[in-house]
Amino acid sequence: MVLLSLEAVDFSYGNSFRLEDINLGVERGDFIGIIGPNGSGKSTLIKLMAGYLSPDKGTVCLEGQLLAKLERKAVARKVAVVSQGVQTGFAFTVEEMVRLGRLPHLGRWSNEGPGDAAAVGRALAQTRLEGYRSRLFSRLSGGEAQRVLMAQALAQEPDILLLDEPTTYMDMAFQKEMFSLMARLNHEGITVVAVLHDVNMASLYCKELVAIRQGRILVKGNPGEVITRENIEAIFGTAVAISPHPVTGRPQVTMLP
Amino acid sequence: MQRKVKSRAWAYLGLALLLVLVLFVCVAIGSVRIPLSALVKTVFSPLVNALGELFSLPAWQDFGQDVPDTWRTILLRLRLPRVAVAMLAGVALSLAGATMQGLLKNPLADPYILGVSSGAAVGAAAAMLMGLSWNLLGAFAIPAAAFAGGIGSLVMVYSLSRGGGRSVLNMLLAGVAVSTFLGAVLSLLIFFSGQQLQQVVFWMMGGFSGCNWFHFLSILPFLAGGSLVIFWHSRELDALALGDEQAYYMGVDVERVRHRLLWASALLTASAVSVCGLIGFVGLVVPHAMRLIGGPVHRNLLPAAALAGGIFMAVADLLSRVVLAPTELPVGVITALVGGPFFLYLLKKRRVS
Repeated sequence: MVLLSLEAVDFSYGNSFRLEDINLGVERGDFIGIIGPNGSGKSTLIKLMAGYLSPDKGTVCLEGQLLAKLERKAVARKVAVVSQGVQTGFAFTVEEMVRLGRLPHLGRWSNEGPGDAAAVGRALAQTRLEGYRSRLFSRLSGGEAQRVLMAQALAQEPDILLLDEPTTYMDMAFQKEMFSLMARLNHEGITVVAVLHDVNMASLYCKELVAIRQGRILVKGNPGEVITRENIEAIFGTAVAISPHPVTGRPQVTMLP
Repeated sequence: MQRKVKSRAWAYLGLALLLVLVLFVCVAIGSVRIPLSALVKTVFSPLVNALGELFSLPAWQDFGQDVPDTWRTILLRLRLPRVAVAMLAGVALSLAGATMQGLLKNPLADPYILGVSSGAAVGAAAAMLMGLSWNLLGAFAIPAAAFAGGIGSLVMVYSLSRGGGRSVLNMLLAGVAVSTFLGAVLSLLIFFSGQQLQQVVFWMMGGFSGCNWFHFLSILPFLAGGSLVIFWHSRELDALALGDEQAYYMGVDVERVRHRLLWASALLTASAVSVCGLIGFVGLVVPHAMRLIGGPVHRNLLPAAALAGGIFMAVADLLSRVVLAPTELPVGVITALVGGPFFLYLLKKRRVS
């Protein structure tokens, strides 16, 4: 069943940059990685899928209904986004940040109930942030802050999780943990679409990859189909070698000196 | 978690009690010396008299009848409305400041930052120059004119900042430009004001002398409406403090909510400016202090800021009339003298910790 679909979507910021003719269907249970060089339009694609940007042409639909026509809170109960570089001048604690993820589930005057507290607790546990509840968000390292934003998105209890380079500021161990978390969430039924800069990690964890170059989808398919020498050289414009992962057999990219 | 909620309730109760205490103190002190017993009698006599009627207790029916009428007038017609208006203005500026700070994602924003104050000042000055004063008509017309001016300048700022994606920076820059322009318009109005000069200048210096129940009643609906809208959106304010994009992803209809909140805070600011002129620092310092004490979550911050704003303004007004009695200082001088150093202290403390 198609959850989120983009049909013939064109989008441009002024005239400098554009996404052209994007067709993409996200089905329930998918784990899609979006890869491509810097400036190819990966983040813009996520913003379009989340409805924050509106396409110049074409349609973006959530469960068959035009995304732009749906009520914001209703969308936020189904689609959560982990975006990059959220900053605030205010001293929110980690717990306050994550509780804010309950916003789409709460009425205007209603208080948070046990269900909300449970969702917040789960989100904190899944991101291993239980010990961080009263830490200040603004004082965290980049990787820790990223996990808080992940927890906030999880507290929304979404069907679809859209992530924009969620592992940017993370060391290897946390990167792996973040990917494991995404895989586990996906296994539990959450549909995951992530912009990823690490092609090898994307190959190891994603069920499907979408490669973008200069605002167009160049190729999509499972990692075995997408990560070939020809494709990677066409996408990134640099010479590489492809070899199977020693344990899983998934294709891995090695740079040539 | 439970314990935290309880202590927060106690904090509100404490602030509310302090507000009542300050109300009493401010009414009790003044150039005419009135004993505390007379104040207590004046305040409680309606209730006690009514109870006396009900249960036919002669002693209770006579309670408070020995307070001279002049004292009664001073307490109920002069001091009480003045303190009440000061409190309303403090609540309004403090809530508007907290809202602006959340909306602009900047803890150093104040209610005047988007030119609302200068617009409101021009509106009110224009109304006064057209001969409206604080009579029955003016009591509603001057705030309305101030409000129209405040909203007008806000709309100007908002549409001027449209180019380039309406960033916070654009809005601030447009606010500076519009404020400067309207400041010049205000100077022109004052230049041509002639007979009304004194009234306009006096009003602009900021203060509550001469405030009566008309002022109170004329700004009460604006205050109630604006506060309600702001409280209604307290969770959205938290989300907006993380940036428009993040707020959008959390289910906030960003443009619509921001519009409503800007209108509401302009409403509050204009209502305060219309009765007491420009009084700085309250809208900046009070929400900031409350945020340092109780955290930035607006559901907790807004009620605390409202109560503390009322207390702060009433105390500032009291100081303004007792420090150099019988001369009255402009309240803005007091708020700046107290608020400025306090603010520096907060900044320094923040940097150290």
